Amino acid sequence: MRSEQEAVQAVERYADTVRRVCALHLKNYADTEDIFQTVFLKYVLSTTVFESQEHEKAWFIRVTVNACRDLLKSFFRSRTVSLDALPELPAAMPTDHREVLEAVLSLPEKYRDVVYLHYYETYTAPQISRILGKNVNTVYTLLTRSKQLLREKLEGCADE
Amino acid sequence: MNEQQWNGAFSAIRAEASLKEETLAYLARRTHGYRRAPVRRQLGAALAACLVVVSLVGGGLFFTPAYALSLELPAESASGTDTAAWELEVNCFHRIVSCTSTSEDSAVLSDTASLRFQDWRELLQTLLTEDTAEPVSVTVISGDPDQSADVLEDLQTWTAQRPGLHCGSLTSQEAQEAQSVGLSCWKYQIYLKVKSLYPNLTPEAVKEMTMQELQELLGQDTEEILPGNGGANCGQASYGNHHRHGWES
Repeated sequence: MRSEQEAVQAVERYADTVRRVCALHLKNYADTEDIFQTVFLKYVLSTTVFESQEHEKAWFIRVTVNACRDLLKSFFRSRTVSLDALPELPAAMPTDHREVLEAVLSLPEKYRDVVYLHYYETYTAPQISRILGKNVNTVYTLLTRSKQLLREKLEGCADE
Repeated sequence: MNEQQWNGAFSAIRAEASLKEETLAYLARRTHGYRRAPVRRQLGAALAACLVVVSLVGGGLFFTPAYALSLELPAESASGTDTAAWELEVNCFHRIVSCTSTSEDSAVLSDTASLRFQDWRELLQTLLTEDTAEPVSVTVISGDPDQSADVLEDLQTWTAQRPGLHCGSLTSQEAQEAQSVGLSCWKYQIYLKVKSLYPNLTPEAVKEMTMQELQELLGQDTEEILPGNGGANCGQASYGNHHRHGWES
């Protein structure tokens, strides 16, 4: 089991990353809080020895993505939470930033992680394939397609 | 879209201070101050460990000999009547773990492989039919005197119904000594008794002697030392100074 000091340091380093991945998949704060705490508990109980902070960060991203997917697939949740609920976005955001975020969140779920990891976290396709456990060609395909979709959405917003 | 837009969009998403504080409090609570894993994980690990231990111990006990039985029966051979002998290693569940022929003639127990895991009492029952007049000697080789007593008690319940049965016990060291000097367990027990009267008597001499001759040395009636001649011949009654020791594991 990791120490309290390690837990505090991990929260400080990776809280925002975990929060953002939750935002890509979850649509309410209650679920976000649930997954957020679960991920850090898994970290505290994990015996994984990390080679570097990059390795550790990749671990947090992968665990968070998997935890979100598990929650979304759960039988109980699908019958208690509306699947059409809109995600909660930060209140004060510049308009163009909000449009980008809304565009990403409106993509089919399979595109959101690769878009976030590539355009914001600046991971390469091979790195993303390792984090998400996907074939690297699949990642390239998803990135290419997501770019088209985002362009269509954002150009459509620009036209309005 | 440019890099600035991407950074701006996602950088606005931050973990709330309250979320971090509550998470740290949650972690401290679930780990009991970072001292131990949550109870459910502990119970799961403990249960898994118990199951592993039970499997290993149970599995180990089943295949581990707890004591041995030396069975001796007269058998016809080219040189006349000899003694056929087997050593049965038995586990704590009274199941035969292994069966080894310790004499040249093993015709009576030809299929020793099928004996494995059979209860030795069932095997003995098969060998000792009510009509048999042939003597059968059973020597318990055990490291535990109480265990020897229990097994002999089991055997003693049969001797009244099966006159051909004779039983006794030896330690594993004594059993090894018997083997090393070429005496059967049964005859070695007699040798130990005779030796108390005749210290110069050697195992080699005893090996060449018949039961009748040994009886004369002991100055006792044949029925005292020969199996199957009426009465119960089991345990301490058979040899007077009965040696009750054990199978050293």
